[in-house]
Amino acid sequence: MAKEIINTVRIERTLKLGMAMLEELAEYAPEWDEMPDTEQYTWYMDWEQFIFFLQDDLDAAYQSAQMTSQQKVQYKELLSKLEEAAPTLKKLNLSQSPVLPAEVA
Amino acid sequence: MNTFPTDNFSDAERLIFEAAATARRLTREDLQQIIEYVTKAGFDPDAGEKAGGRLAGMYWQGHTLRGGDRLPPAEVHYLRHVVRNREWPDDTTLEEYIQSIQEVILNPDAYIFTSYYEDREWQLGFIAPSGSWRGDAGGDWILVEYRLSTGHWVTAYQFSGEYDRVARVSKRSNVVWLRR
Repeated sequence: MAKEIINTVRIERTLKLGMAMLEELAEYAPEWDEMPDTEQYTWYMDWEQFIFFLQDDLDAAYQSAQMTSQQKVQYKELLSKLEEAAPTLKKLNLSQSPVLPAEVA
Repeated sequence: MNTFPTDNFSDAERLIFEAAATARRLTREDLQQIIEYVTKAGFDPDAGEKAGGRLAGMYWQGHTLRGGDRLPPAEVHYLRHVVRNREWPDDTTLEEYIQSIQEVILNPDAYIFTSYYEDREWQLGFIAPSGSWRGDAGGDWILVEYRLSTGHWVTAYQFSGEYDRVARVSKRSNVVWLRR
């Protein structure tokens, strides 16, 4: 099966998006239950979309050696922050990262 | 689950509810009635959504956005998914984003499903190929979701992979496919 070419726009977008989503998570988690339901839902679906991007763009690019060394550093940092956020994600019933930092060299 | 207040429903809303909550089988005409209704629903023009950190610093409508700013949902979703995420082509306008959503709903080959969010909100989803609306960081599919209780679209974004992965997210239950 031919490997999919993950363009650098997708890699850079998802790296930045991940960090921005984690910052929003830290801000929204304390007020999660008070958020308007529609807003809570769209944030939840945006998070699930980000997890899709993490799998489709970052993990796929890493596994197929399409990341630069700088992108690998950023990817590992993102995975570390996702691991730190795991208790919050669990509490809010949001998807966890499917990749652990230890899986990225 | 079947105690949803339906008194003020339009015919199309009642059809959506009955298909979702009572597994009523819809005719082709029923489905067409729903499609025409949802195409016109739009995002809620009277609601506001927080811009959040993702949009903070972005220049929009003459000023620089702050995370706490509240914007109409159509603008928030446009700025997040078109401008920031680049899921749509870079020159896509807000009006074209809305047009692309309507094209998904009207696509005769779109997958259509109902679902229940956290056991409290019935929703109707449409999934169709992104086609020419796919941007540099876009996906294979566009998802559009309509919420029965508000009578408006709630989100529209792109994703890749299996078309039904968005129907399998953890907080969604009672998924019924109306067309696939």
